[in-house]
Amino acid sequence: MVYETSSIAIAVFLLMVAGTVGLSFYLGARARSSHGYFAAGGSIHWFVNGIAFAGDYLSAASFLGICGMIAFYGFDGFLYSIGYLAGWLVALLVIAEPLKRLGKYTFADALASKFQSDGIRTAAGFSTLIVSLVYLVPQMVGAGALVKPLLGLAYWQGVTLVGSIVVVIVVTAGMVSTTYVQFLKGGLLVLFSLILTVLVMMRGVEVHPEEARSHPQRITVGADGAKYVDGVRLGLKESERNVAPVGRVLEMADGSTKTGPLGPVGYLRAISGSRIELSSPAKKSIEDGRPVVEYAPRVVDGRAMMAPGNLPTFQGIRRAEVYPKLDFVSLMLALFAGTASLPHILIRYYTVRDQASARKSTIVGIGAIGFFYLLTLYIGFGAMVSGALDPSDSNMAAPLLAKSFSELLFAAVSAIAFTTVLGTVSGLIVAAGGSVAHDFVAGMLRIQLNDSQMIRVAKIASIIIGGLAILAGLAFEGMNVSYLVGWAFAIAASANLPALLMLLFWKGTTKQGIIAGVVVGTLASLLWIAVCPEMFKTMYGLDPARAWVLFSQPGLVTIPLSFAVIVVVSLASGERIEDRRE
Amino acid sequence: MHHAANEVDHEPESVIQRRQRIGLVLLTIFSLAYGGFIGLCTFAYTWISETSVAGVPLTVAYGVGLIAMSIAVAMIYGLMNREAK
Repeated sequence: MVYETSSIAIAVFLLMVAGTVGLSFYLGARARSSHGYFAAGGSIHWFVNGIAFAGDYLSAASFLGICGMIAFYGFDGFLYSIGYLAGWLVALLVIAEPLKRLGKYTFADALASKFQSDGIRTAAGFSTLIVSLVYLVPQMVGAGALVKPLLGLAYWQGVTLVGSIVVVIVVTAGMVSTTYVQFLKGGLLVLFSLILTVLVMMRGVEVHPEEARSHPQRITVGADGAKYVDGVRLGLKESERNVAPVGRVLEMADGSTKTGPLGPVGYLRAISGSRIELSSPAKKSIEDGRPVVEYAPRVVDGRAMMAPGNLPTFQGIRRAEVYPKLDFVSLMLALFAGTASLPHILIRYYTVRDQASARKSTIVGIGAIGFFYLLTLYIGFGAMVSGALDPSDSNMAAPLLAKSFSELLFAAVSAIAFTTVLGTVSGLIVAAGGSVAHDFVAGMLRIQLNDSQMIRVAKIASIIIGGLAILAGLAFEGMNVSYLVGWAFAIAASANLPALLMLLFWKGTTKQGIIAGVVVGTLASLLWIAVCPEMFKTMYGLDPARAWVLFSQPGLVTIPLSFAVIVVVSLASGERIEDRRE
Repeated sequence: MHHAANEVDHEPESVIQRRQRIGLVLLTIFSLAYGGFIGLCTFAYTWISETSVAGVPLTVAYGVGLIAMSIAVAMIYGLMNREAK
């Protein structure tokens, strides 16, 4: 679909970016010590930190990805909302306070604290870098896909723009400015999602069978290189044709044509009892040596859209075979266990004063994030029946739903969506840069650095990591963002969570056990991903049946493996935590 | 909004352990609810897809319930530990 460039959208977008960078410059100049740069001097109020958790965590995958998935595939998108939130209870109930008590700047601090081990610090620093880089990939892929329709930029330009802005933010800023940017972003995201949800419910459900399409839309590429829709040049001029939007109710259960305003339960009931016109996933082929993409109309039952298994990657749960089901279970386990292992989330515990603040900020974060995820259900289903869905880009579901209400709301939602990418990417780069300075340079290499040198090393590392993120974003263009996020969670959960839990709850844990658990958890999950069916199909262009493992999400195997390795190696080696206490 | 310094509370070991026990109990309860949901979606797909609660499909009701439960568990944990302190 071609989008009309909106001057309001660009103005609001530029205003948001300028505000973000300006705030970073202003607050960044005040962070002169390394404690100020890496941990905001432990001075952030717990409520601000709690909303900043939401800003850090609610990435493009959460906002655009989930709303888009619900709009096109119904309940399956909401499964991601549930999994993403569930992991926060692990963070609150077992991780938050010990991490704050044991650490100072990085996740590795806490893990290495009981043994004062450089080996543990190096292993944890290694896992932090890997997880940050892997999690940066879907953020950059999402950024490229988002900027393309919003600003009319090419994919590579979008990725490069986001990467460059974030590097500027991180280099000029520190945890104080990053926290306040995340606080504003998190607050605005929840507020505008609430506004969108209220508007969706006020509009209710309307029947529009007259607008339903009877034939597929074919996008072809002509000899002149231009795109054509059903033989007419793609564009917005009078002589041209745009891809027609989809997503409208054809019939309601009680035969009515308009419900009027509805409450939260009434809205779901109305959708459940409707027949809805959507679009099938793109069917790609080659005709006369030129690519052809076809979007066929698809009429679905609202009730069926509230069942799991519509999303292509989740369809395995409807089949009799066990392995596709295990793929789904493995993903949901990774989402549950991965949140409390993400480096950019963990370092946020060091920005508050004490354990009680860590606990309270997590509770505020869970409240804000949970409320937002409830709203995704209504934004997603609201987009599904808005008549405004772009069949070629599910990520645009929420912004286009906003556009169906007003241009200004579209501008605001699009700008907030863009800042969600900036916020999450900057959080990840800050975490990775801090890990390089503390865990590798000061810890592993034992190079003595003063405050300003430590900050300089972290900033140089941030520039390099930002560059790597841009390259990775370009390399993984077209990859399924949700799958990439699932993998990042699986690696984090396999590498970090078992080591942290065993350190806290099993006195038999040894230094060697922790190092082995972190290294094996990281490498096993990376290796699994490299040889899984999804990689064979998407990255290598090979038959997924020839993959070396039977399902694509590694968590179900690699998380227990990491626990087992810690137990076995600890039993076979060295000084235990209980020995140190004696 | 700023506090003066970064501090670590030096709480008695018994308080830390009590809090850990509360955390583990609440996490176990939530994990059972979450695991039950994933299990039903995976291995009782037809049943959970066809059952309704107050006119809303059970899948949606259970999912919304899990989100509400997450928020409730977080608040209970906060309240219990405020009392403990």
